[in-house]
Amino acid sequence: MRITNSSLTTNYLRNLSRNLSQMQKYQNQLSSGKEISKPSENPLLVSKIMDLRNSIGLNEQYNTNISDTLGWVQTQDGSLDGVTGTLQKIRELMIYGANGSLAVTDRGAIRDEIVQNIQGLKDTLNTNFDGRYIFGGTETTNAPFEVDADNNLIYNGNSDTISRQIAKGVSTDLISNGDAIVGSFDIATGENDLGKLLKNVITALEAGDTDSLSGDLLKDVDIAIDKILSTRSKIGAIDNRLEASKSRNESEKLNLTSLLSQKEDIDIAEKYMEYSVMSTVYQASLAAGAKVLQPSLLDYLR
Amino acid sequence: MSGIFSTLNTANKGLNAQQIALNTASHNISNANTEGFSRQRVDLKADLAYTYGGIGQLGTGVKVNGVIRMVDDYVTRQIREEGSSLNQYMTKSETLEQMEIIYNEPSDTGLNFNIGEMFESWQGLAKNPESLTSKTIVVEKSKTFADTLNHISDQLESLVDETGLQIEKQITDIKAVAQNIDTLNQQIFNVSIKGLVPNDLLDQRDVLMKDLSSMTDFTSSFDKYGRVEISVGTSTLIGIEVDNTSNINNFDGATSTSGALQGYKDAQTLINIQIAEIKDFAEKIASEFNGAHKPADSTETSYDFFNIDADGKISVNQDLVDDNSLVLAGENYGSAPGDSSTAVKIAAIRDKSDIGFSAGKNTIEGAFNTMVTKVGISKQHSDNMVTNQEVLVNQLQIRRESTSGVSLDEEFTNVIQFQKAFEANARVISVLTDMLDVLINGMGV
Repeated sequence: MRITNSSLTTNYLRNLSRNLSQMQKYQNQLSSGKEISKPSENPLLVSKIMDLRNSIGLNEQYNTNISDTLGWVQTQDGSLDGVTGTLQKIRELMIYGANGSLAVTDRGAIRDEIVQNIQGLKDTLNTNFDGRYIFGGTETTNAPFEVDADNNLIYNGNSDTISRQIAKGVSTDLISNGDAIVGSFDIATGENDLGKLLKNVITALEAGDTDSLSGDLLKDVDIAIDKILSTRSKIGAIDNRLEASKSRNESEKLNLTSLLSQKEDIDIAEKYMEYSVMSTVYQASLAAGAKVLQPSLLDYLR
Repeated sequence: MSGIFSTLNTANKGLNAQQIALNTASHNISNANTEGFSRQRVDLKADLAYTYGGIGQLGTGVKVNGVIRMVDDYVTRQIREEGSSLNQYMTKSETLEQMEIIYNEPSDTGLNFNIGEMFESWQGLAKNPESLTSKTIVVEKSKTFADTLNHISDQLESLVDETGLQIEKQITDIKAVAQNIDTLNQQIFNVSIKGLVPNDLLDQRDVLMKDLSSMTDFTSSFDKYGRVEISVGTSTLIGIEVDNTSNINNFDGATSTSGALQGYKDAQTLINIQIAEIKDFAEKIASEFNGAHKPADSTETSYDFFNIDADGKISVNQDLVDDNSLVLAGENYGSAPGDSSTAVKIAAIRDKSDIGFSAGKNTIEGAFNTMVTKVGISKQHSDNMVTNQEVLVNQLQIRRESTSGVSLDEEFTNVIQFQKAFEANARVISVLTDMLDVLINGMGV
């Protein structure tokens, strides 16, 4: 084949520019740290990367949901701990008040203390988390419990359930119906809510009815305390479930991010080696160009 | 009979022939870098001999038979054909690259990210339906999503307009080149009718035909005068011995199937498909959101979440922008503040795959992902074709160069060869002069 000067130059320039564009590719990858920057470089990989980014975003959202819900649940537990404490206190006062030898004024003092405790109970049940009342059903912006002038503890919330998304397609229902916590006891006296029970206690103290104070009413208060404890154990179960979800969520996040990194990040050492090799090739082609393109017959004709 | 004067004539012919050959070598050297130039050779042959009685045939020196252009027409035609295809994919790839830039994926700021953020804001509202701030975030994130989507759609529309202009420009350029080829046809005819070969005009026309092939594919045939007839598909662009004004003016590129013109057309089709898909995307998302963003109680006023205007552009309902509290979180506006059933329902749209996109069953993010992937695959295919065609065209160009290219070393060798021959012929004349001197002056009469 006949080789001419211009075919030499054209070929040389073509190879040089190919080397240079390869250099540019490696430089891009090294400076961005990413394997690809445009869909056309590897469309299916880009699709995968976009999916992974979505999943990571979603995962982070579920993580905040879970953390937030955990805070909510833990506040509930703390609050119910207070409720149990207060009920224990009321129980002690009742036992004290059931003492037949007690003076009427003393029983009056006990009654007053129980009234104060009912107020305390109300305040504890009206605990809020992040400005939202935790025991009012979905009525989260108004205090769900109040104590009326007759010392009745009244529930003003609703019975709707609050639920939170904690993973894709998975939600958890929170125990937020205050009525279910303080009401619906299997009470010997036929009364079925804590407010009425406490009201009866006050009435009994006022009447000096020591029999029922140490009898049915005491039994009922025990049932109420058990009820609260069982609610707390349910809340504890939710807490456990959330903790488990959280750790699953975090390990999923680790998996997703490492998968994303595998797909889109470069292996710096490997890429740098490739770059060095390319750079050597490029320099060699420059040096060869200087040698190949110069000589012609003209250099030797004098 | 052979005499000194006859030999003088032979030597003179030799001088002339070498001079012509030198001139051609010089022409080649000066055009060594001229685009499309084909090297030329002087065709020398021994002149007619005459019969010298009793001796035989006596030669009468050299004759210049003509100047030949060294070309391989088959390779030239192949370069044109493969060049058409190369330019088609090159143009397509360049336009699709702009589309890739418009989509701006994969990135932390593209539409994919905005869709995610929008749904996350709904999740945030589902978790905290009492808070007006959560509603404001929903409105703001949804506005960002709508803006980004509209921006993509606007940019695609201006890209399709730009491509339309490029198509018109290609057609104008094709007409201009065709006009030049038509003129050259006439000039070539004027020379070849005299029995001569217009080497340099033929080179010029080859360059123009190569230019033309970069814009559109065509078929060509030559008549005995070297004029070319060119048809694009079934429509004649340049005919022979006809007035081509109307042929050229009526050319609209409809019959073209390759070249840059077709590349732009291919890209235009793809962009139009994407524009339609983006519109469908916006519409289906809006109707899905609006369907969910409705109070269950039909006596309450219902507000659409997204609006779609006449141009298919999506926007968050201005009422909701003005009053963020109109974002519906609960089942009804009158529901308890902790109720987040609507927010949960809208957040769940993210996982729904029966949105009804015309491009196929897919989730919102999946549909956008597919669009981006489609552009990527088209662009990748074009890039691969460009790489393949480049290799092919380069090979062909090397072949053309090996026949038609000027080698300076070779030309210089020729220059020296012709110079020596010229000197030798001159020496013959000098010897003949000496002989005449002997005959005329040396013979003492």
